[in-house]
Amino acid sequence: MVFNTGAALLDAIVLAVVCKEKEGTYGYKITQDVRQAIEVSESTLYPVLRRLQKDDCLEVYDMECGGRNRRYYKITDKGTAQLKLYQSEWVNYSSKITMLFSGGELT
Amino acid sequence: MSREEFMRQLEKLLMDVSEEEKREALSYYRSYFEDAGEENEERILKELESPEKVAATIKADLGMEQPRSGAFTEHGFEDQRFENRQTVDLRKKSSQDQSESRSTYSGNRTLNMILIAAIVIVTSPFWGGLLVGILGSVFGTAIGILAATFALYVAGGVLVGVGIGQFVVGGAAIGFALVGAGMIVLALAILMTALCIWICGKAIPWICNVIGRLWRSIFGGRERVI
Repeated sequence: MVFNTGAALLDAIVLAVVCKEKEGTYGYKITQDVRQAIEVSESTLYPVLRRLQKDDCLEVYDMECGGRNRRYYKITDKGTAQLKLYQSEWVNYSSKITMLFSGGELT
Repeated sequence: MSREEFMRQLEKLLMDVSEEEKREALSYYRSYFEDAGEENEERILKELESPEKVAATIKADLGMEQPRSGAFTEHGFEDQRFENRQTVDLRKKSSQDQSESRSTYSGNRTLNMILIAAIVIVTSPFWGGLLVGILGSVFGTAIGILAATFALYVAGGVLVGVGIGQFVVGGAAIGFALVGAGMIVLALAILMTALCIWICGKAIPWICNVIGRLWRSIFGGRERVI
């Protein structure tokens, strides 16, 4: 990857990953899932998750798992709306660039 | 560094963060290690690099440090603050700043020069008029004084002439009075001559000198600014 991932795109990717899990998902798994798409270091996602949580795009709850509490992240309605916005923006953005790269005309 | 050591150092580094943020961050990383399992512990510790970096990432997002200078790149979150070249970079930057401020300074000087030139050009009718006016009034006064002196000589001469004429006609009293008046007028004329000599010899060179000095202080001064 030679392209940098900006903060908004990273937010969108995290929201998309969390959205897939209806019952919520946890930090380590989110990192692994995000890594299927882009290269991120282990320390990248905590601030992103924390910010999304503060912005009410994600909600957290603790669930017991194997004798200890695990923190789960679940997408909120606001988060879903935000993700929809990001997705439509992305389609708009990426399709224009794809068009440009393939030598087509922008309408 | 072990996982416990890492968590202990991270906790210490997050001392100045609010209690809630500290608890959140520590519980995230604690459960991150637990979820990853012992087999991944070493790899994660290596990837996290250092508690300092993790703490800085957390603080950066809380707005506690300088605006985020890092970026998410292909290698994850990269931040130049953690690079060893920092000191060199800082020095390079400060010298750049210096040269920048220097160029701004000379830019200001050029701007000042242009401004002065513009003011001189715009106000030139005024200054030119004033200069010509001063010179005109000085020379006018001088010529006026010269003319008055000449007139006094003529008047004095005429009065003396008419007075002598009166002696011939027979009015000795009127003759004396006229000759006396003529002498007084001639004396005034001689005084005026002295004034003319003073004006031509001292006052005009002095005025020229003053104007010359003024000229030099305005335009010579501008040359020094350049």
